[in-house]
Amino acid sequence: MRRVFASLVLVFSFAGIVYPAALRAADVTGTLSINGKKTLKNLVIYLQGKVKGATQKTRTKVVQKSQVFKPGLSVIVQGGTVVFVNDESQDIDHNVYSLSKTKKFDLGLLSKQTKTPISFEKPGVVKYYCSIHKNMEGTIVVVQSPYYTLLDKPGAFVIKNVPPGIWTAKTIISHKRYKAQPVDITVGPDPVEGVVISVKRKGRKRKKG
Amino acid sequence: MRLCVILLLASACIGITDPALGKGSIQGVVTARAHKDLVAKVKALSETPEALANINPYVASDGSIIYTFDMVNYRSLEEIFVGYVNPGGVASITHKLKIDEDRFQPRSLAIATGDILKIENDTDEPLTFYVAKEDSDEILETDTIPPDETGTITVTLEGLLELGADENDKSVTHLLSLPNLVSNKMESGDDYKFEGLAPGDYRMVFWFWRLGMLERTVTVTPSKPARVDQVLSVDTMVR
Repeated sequence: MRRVFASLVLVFSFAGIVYPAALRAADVTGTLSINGKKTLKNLVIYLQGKVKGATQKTRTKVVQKSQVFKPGLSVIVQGGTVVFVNDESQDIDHNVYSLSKTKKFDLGLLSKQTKTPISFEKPGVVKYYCSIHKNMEGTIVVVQSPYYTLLDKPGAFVIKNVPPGIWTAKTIISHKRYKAQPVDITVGPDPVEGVVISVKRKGRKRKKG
Repeated sequence: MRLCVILLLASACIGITDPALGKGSIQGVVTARAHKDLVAKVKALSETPEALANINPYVASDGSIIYTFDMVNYRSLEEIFVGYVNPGGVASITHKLKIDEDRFQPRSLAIATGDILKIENDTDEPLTFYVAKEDSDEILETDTIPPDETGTITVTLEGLLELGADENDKSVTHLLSLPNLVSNKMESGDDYKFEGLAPGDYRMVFWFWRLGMLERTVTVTPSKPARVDQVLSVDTMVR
């Protein structure tokens, strides 16, 4: 039965066919761990695959209030939109701009109560700032599929309702000192458990004591 | 006057040349300014009775911006780096930095690739300093440096880099590392001048870590200084 299912998954993958409802989605669970005692924040685990129909246009909101972007980290799916909302109680203007390689933009002046959308077509990390206020900055992580999770610390994770197929679990870590190896996952009709993602320090190029 | 002429003739006869002769310079003013939309809005508001009554927190009656403590004060911005790439090469320089309980100082630094960072650990915990490049696995690092001691890193990476400490995520120093970069740290509105340059084309760099890097190519001739005035603003940098 399992062999038949795996064959179906492969056939559908190669043909680029949207999976029939009979091939149900399953949850993927596992653990993200770090060598040593280091505690990292804001870890985004997402699944990258070639399953047609796996992407969806999402819309999320970032509020500018008390001169802070909330949330400071947003995750959206490629093609999705972030709406910046100036929700200040006083007449305070904001601006949002980014110099990132993923998307360079300047949204101009955002006055009180305005809502300004911007879409992100390419996957990657977008660091953005307000040009008016010095402590206002935030990050948008654009992922390639709607199958992702955001962890505030290393530990257990679950990605729900993943369609059958061959996927690669990738991790985005804001701390430039660390990286995670991608993990290949085959999702079938049953939940996938025990996925282990290891985060390691990047190797040194040259040491000077 | 006669003595002067005689001295000049004598110098020419025995082969003494003025080192500045045949050289050129680059000079100009570097200025930072707020977003053009904010500048325009403040100017318009300054002409309204409400703004003149100081209802708006950052509008001065003369149409300028009143910068509050929480704003990026472009009028006195202190972290602008202006530099040029010297095709003849530059000698390695050592830069002193430190981290205390709050943050790294300075917050940004433009260097020539190959320069040395000497980082003082002014915290109470041992720290491992690293220099990392975005989208790259390459890392430069020190051994773990005890409190009150200093670690050194020779920066062999190029581009926009980050100096941080493995054990302390509170802050980083933003680095711009370019081969053969000669740079000065300026304040908004400052005059800058690079002298004694051989004639030719030079790659000039203007950088503020929050706004990114702007490049200009300038031709230096011995006849007169090349002038490059530059305004840094979000609307000029993000295009």
